[in-house]
Amino acid sequence: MDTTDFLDLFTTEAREHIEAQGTLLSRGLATGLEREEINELFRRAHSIKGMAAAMGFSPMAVLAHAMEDLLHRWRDGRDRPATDSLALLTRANDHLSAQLDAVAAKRDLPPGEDIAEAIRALCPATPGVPPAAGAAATAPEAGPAGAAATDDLRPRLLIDVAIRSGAPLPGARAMVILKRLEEHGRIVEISPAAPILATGAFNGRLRIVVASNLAPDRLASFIGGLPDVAACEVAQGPPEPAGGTEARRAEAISSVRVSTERMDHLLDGVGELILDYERLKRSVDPEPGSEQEEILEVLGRTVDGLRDEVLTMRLLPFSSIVPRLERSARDLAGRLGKSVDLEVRGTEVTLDRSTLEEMFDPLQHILRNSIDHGLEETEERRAAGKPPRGRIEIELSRQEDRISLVVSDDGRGIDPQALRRVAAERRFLSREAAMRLSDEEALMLVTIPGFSTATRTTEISGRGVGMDVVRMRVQKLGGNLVIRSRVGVGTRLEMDLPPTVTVTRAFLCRASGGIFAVPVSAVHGMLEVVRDSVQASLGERVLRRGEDLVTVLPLGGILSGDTAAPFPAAFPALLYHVGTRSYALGVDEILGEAPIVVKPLRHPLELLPQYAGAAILNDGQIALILDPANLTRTSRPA
Amino acid sequence: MTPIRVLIVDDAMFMRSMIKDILNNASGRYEVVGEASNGREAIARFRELNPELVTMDIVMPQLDGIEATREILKVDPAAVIVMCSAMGQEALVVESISAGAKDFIVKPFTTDRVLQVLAKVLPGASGGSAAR
Repeated sequence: MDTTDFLDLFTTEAREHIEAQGTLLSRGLATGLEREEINELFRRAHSIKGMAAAMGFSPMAVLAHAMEDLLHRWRDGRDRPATDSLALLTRANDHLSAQLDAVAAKRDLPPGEDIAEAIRALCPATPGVPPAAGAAATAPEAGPAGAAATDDLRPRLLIDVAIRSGAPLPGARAMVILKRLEEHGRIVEISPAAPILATGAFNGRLRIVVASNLAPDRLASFIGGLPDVAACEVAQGPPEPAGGTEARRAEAISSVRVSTERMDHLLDGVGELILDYERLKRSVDPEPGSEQEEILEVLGRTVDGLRDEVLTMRLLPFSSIVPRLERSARDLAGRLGKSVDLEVRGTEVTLDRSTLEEMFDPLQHILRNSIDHGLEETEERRAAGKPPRGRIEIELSRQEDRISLVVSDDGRGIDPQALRRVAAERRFLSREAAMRLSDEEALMLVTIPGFSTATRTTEISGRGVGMDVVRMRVQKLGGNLVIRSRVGVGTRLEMDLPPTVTVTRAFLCRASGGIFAVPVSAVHGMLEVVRDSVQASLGERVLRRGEDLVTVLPLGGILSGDTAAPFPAAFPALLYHVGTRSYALGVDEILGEAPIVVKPLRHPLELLPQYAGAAILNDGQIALILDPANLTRTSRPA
Repeated sequence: MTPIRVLIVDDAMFMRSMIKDILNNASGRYEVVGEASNGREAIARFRELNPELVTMDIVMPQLDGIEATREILKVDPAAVIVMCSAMGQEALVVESISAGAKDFIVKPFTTDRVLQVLAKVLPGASGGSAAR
């Protein structure tokens, strides 16, 4: 068999199993394991073993097999999970993950025979105990469905239903089938579990065990006659043991997979649809109360529903990358011999999957910096009166229409004065300019490419490795990064990100005869600038707004390269922040807010950092999308 | 054969006309006896007309289709209600079915689709009841 076609599917599924095992094992170490959690671990190890064996990755199969054996003993109650054996399984699971990385990188798999052997040592052969005895003892705990069903003496029928592919709302369809079945019997078991049906994660295959007096063929023709049922098979029970259907359930959920590329195509299509709809609405301009107005209204709602559906489909909980983060933190802390507690909050908050993927590397960088450079050695912490174990917190939360991501540690912090000094010594800035930087601005120096390499040779902790990458990635996603730190107390990185991407709302404005789009998520407000209220300060034109100083940037002037051109008497401006500074982007006219579809720029326009992409407007015109943060940089040659 | 008496509930007049058109052209099998444009009105019209079949929009002003379905089933537990849903409302449809709606159709409708689903939900329809 040529297995290359299955490699992607294998790595995705195996990754899912390994991560889920990692989560369960850490929970096990913290609070112990419930029976169902042991079952789940067993099933997952079993799946990994089978998949790896089928793909010919025997070191993975061998290791997963050993894990499965030990979990089998726990499941049967022959042994109980102890801290050291849980730790051993955690090590084994981390090793599986490393093996999977090697698979993905097409490298040779690191063997894991020593770990497998250590696990096997915990599983002495016990021929005296027939496995059935253990299984029988657990039967009464099969769960409420099983218990309730024992009262019902009607024959069990096992029903497999396939819903027509492409049928609308397959989960709701499955729900209809279940309700209709209740007219003819009592439902004993459903796979996947009923709550899955409402989530959109249902793949169209339903297995039901029902207690009913109806003949199997009559039941089959009843279900087969319902709308959108592609096939239905009904067999006499008894159903297979619960373990089997559980495994199938896990399979049913995890097999709903669409490549990100196809999701992107879908989103592109929806984006175009939204624009076409807006164009149609404007060109038709229907009479109030007319049929056309009705049609447009309905169409609008359908389009909105479709957009919401597609955007929701792309959302994944933060928890989906947490196990990988935890593992990499654990690995590094172990290698450096540091004791680190990582606490992650807000794991239930959902983000667009591409945002999540894009943020994984930066988060890993940040963790690495904290563990390697931020957190002190145990002795140094003791001397400073801190708890001996270092602490890192990641907190994700939703703030109105933004996502806030904060990573903080209780390490030694960064000294802004030292950064100013290095910036001046290494000629990143003139001495005067460096000393004029506020503490927060000085901290942002670590995000300048090449700055970290300069600092590494100094007494400052070498934090900043890859911080330029972090900042760029956050900005690329339409976000913003702020660094706060107190020497001796710790460092805090605050990022805010838009929850979804690609279809976005933007302010359209006119400047120098062209139309430009500025993402709404980047704009904090609008204001009218009166020329007489603008003052000159340090070569910039600024406006006082309450406590804040706002730097006024004329968009037309920036585009033409004449940033000192005189202002008109009054003009509208978009207010935005970069780091801790505020800017007002002056334009000729603000045309309003509209949904735009972001298109990546083609070469050579992509080389211009002030543009984030292009947008196709309702009337077919193209507008360049401004990236305010980069615009600010290009306008102030430092 | 006496036509089946139908109540159409939808806040959009366009949708009501469309369903009505489909039902009126189904060889006299259905008779649209009333329309309602929100959940509250639907309950009142149901009490007054006692239709054999109700098509029920989900998202409506005043009282949504799910609540209206619950209320109507309190009035008549045997009421046959079919939900009309837009794309992207799977959770709402699942909730409606749990609340007792018999089936659903997804907008935009086609004639065949509407007639197929309605034919299956009525007692005595082919495939509608295997037990009786």
